[in-house]
Amino acid sequence: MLANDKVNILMVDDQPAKLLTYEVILSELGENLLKASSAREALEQLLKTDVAVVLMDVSMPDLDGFQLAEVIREHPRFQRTAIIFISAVHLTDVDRVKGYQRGAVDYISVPVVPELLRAKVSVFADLHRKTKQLEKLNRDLEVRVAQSTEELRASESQFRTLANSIPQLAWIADADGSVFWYNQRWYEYTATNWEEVRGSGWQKVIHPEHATRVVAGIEHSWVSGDPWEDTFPLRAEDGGYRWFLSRALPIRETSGRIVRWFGTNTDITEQKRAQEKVAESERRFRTMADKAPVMIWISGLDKLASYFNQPWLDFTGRTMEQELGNGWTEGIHPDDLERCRRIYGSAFDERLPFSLEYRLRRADGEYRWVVDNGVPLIDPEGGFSGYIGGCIDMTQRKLTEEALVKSEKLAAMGRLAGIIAHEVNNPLEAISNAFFLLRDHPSLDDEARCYARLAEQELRRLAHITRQTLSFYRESQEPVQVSVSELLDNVLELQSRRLHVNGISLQKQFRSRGAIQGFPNELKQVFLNLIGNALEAMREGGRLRVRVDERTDPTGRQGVRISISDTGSGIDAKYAKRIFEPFFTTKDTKGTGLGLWISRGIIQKYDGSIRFRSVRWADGHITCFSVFIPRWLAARNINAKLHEDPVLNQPA
Amino acid sequence: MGEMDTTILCVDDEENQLVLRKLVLERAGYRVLTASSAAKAMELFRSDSIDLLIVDYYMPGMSGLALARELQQQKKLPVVILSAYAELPGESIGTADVWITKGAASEELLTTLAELLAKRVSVADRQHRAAGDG
Repeated sequence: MLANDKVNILMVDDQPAKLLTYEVILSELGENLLKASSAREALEQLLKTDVAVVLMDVSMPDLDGFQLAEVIREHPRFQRTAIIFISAVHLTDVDRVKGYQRGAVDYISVPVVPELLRAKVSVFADLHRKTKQLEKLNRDLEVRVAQSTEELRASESQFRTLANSIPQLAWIADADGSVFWYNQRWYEYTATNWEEVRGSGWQKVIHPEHATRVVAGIEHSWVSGDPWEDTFPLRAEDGGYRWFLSRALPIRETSGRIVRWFGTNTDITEQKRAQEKVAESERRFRTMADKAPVMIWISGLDKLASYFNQPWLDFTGRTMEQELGNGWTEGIHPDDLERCRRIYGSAFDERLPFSLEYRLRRADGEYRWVVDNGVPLIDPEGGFSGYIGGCIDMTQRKLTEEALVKSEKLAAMGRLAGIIAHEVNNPLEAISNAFFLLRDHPSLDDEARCYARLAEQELRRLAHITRQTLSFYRESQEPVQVSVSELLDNVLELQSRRLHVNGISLQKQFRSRGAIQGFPNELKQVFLNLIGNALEAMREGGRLRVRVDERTDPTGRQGVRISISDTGSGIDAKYAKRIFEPFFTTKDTKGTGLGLWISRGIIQKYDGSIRFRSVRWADGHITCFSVFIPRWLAARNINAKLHEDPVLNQPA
Repeated sequence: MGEMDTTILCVDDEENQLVLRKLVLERAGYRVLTASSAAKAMELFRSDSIDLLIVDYYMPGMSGLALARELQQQKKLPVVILSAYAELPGESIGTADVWITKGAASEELLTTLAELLAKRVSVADRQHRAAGDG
């Protein structure tokens, strides 16, 4: 109904003239004018049409106006219909009250003033029209509300269907975080019911160790409005826990106000297991790498080092941080660095394995030769991800190889010496005997005898040299009686030239023959080492003192003590612990670093001891090596093949 | 020294050596028998009274050492083993054995013989005296 829609005005009067009069007066209003000449007609009209105002005469033949009004009012439809009475007689206040009680809304007295009538009717007509409009608006509104309610219901149901179909657990909470809906998966997984989990009931299924943190985190989001995310285990129907990645997002109105929270929980147990598996295999690799007797490194696609194992770090004495990237190159000998870079770089570009030898600085500052084998890292899909390399300290191996070669050479030389000794000594014996016979032969004159003696003397020298130099071929399997003093004399004699040249004075204090059971050659080797070292330490001259005396060791064993002391350069205290180590040498390339090691090994086989002391004295040093050898070899040592070790007649 | 009372058996496969050694020993007053093989030596040992044996360690066939052991089984006597090598093989160690490296001056051999015989004499004296006293 539009604002200017016409309303129906019902005029009731038994006199047609009056009806006509009202019609004339009211026609100006432009409303529909309905006429009824009786109460009955009026009721029929009312029932047929919607009437805004009823205009009626109080006095009518069948039912008077008041009676009609009463009837009209009884009908629920017309309870609020405006009724205006027209009264020909003067109405008392009592009549008016009676009229109002019956449902009248106004009175008009006769003679009717046309303007008044029009004005009054118009007011009620308008009122009715407005009421109708309001009613219509209200109805429209109701329809619209009903429509949108239906739409919302449909969309929410659609959403829930969707939320029920996803593999995640899902839920919706209102703005303050109270959950009012969970999807089906939630109930299936947690085996809970709505009563248990409504509002904040969901907290019950969080793993107890995580609950406090999770609740604090999500409550912070309820307040701040920030999206929420966390990872924690949720209890399953069987009481076990699985890991979930949980998220909540705020849903906002156009104004920005949060109206809902939509949350999901995604099961990530399998991913987590896979991750743990990777982490575990990573851990296993690290452990293995750290226990390996090899230095291991890994580099990435950028050629930069991304990992070093513990042996590497122990060797270089540096931290992982120092070594990563290009840090490790700081430990490479400057002379080797460029070559290493070139080979590594070109192998890397071609994705080829490489093998490199270079000097790497050890924690104590010493450069050691290492061999470094690198191979490209190819994953099962064929992707290249860098290099992995293993590195070994070769110095020891190199020295061992050299020593082996040397000992092999010596053994060969020994065999050769044996053959030569045989071939030389036999004729020498014959010639010696021949000159012995010749020199006193009566047929010789003095001059010839003199020649013969000269020749004999030279032969003696020759025999001596032969014996000294060719004697280290040994077949002996069993110990013999040895005089330590004689052995020392022997060694000193061999060194006499050196003593003389270096201006070294010799002080011998042999208080005993030093009789022991043993193998002369290896003992000679020990003394040759010790005396050789002493002489080496006194290149600028000095005093060598060699002493032999009988001793009883703390365990009561009788034996011989040999002490050899020099006034040479001394032994630095920092080397004290290492001088008996194999390959330790202070003589650069000259020494094998084996002399003292072998010497100690020999003395130990005799159950003896070897120790040294080096002290500052005046403006130099006194260094004294002291060896104790028991007089009798223990039975087990006689049976042991004492000379199984490579015999290296080299001073250390 | 009474060397003429002492008979030495010299064994060596090299003839020159054997002859010269014999001459040196004879010059020192010993009675010397020579053999160039172990078989010959054993023959002489059976037919004559030998006081001391000088053998070359290396000989073709039976070694000097084996020969010495064999003869020592029959009669206890001092043995000098000569070798071109510097040391005595362990197994040869016995109270009466002396090892001499060849090429040494003749005096060394003579000195060694004198020492060995002196020891033997003194042992014999003691035994003799002990027998006499008993």
